[in-house]
Amino acid sequence: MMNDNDQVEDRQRQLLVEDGAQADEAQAVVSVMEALRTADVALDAAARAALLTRLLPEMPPRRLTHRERLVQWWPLLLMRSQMRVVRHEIWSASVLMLALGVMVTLAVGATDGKALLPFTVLAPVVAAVGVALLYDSDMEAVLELEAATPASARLLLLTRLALVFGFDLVLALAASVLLAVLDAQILLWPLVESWLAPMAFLSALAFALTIILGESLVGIFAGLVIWGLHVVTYNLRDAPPLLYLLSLPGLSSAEFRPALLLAGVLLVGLALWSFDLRSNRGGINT
Amino acid sequence: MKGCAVRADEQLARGLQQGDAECLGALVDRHYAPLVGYLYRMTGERPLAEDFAQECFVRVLRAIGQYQYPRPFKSWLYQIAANITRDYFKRAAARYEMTMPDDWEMTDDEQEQPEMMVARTMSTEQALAALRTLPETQRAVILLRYDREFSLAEIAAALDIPVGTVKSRLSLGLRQLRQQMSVAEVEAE
Repeated sequence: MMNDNDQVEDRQRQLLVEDGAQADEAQAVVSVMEALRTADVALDAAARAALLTRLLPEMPPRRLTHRERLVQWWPLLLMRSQMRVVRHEIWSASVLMLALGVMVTLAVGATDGKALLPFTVLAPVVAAVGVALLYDSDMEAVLELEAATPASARLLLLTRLALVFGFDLVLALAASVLLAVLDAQILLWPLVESWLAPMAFLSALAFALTIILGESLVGIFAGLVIWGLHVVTYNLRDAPPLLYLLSLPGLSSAEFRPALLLAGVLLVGLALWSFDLRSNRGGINT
Repeated sequence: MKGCAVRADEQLARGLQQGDAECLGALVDRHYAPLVGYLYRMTGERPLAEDFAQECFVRVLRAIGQYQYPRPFKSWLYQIAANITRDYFKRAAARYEMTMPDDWEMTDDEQEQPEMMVARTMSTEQALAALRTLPETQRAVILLRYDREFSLAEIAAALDIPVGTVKSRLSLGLRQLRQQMSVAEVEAE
């Protein structure tokens, strides 16, 4: 059996033949290389560690993967930080209520196509209540503490709104897909259209009232009353004029959907403006 | 990162570009000792060879941003080594240090290291002396070809010369080495 030295020598002789070396030239090279091989020293662990210690400071900074870059994207970091602050009951209550809405809708089934489905009734209220609960009595104290953080209190508030509303929106969309899959009479897009604009408007209204008046109960109450009246008067032919007016008759009409979405944006803007105003007066440091 | 040991040099170099320290470890394990061996044969001084090998890796790391995959990493590393030795040999003082004094003796440090004692056996000295008779350019191609077993193209890339020049230097180097060995044998007799 050939040892390592023999193998190396064989390869050297092969290369020498390839290069057209004469026998004595080949012998000279082989002798020199063999003599030098005895001087080779392997890198021991201590020397390796010392070498790496010297080299590591020269390493280029670690390049983040796409996933790591995404994870460290500041809006996501902000959302993750705020997710921990938002009341946990909001998430579970939203899931439970929307699940209930799905079950009732499946049990009742699609009616004549004109009446509001139970899910359409429930989804906007769930979102509005969740958003109103963002701002409770101890919120100002929390925001005072957060005034010391690089993100402004306004940004934190907006992030929480986006989190809760986004969660309810995704949940309602998933539930709508489920309903459309399980009940052939329910069409996905008309169902989404039926709750989307009212959900956005009622959530914005609840948010605005809560921020402006500093009390989440007001926002919850206003959302429930307006939507409740609307649902009740929706099928009534002869509702009292005042009741009819208070129920915001266009709330579930297709023609008013763009106006409702716009009004929602304006209400959020108004709430943030009011929040800033209070902060500047010394209530909250943004 | 797992599996660095089985990845190609070029993939490890790409890992280095991304700041993966494990890729550095794998490249050191793979190339440091052979590089020291090559530089030792080129310079005849082990501490110097170790310094140069370290310098090679430092230069690799500093220039890793310019590395273009899949350029052969080994050729690039030895190109850097060739640049370092070329600079070294250009210095007159360095040339002077290359010649071993007749009254050379082992230092205390060397006496403490068994591997250094082996390195200083007569035959190793003779081999180094024979290599030293070659011009630096011929010595580099001879060593890369028969000691590091590079292909002609790899040598051309590492030394930044045409393959034809590699062949002519090999031919001249072989002839000179043979002559040197013949002279040494005659003197020994």
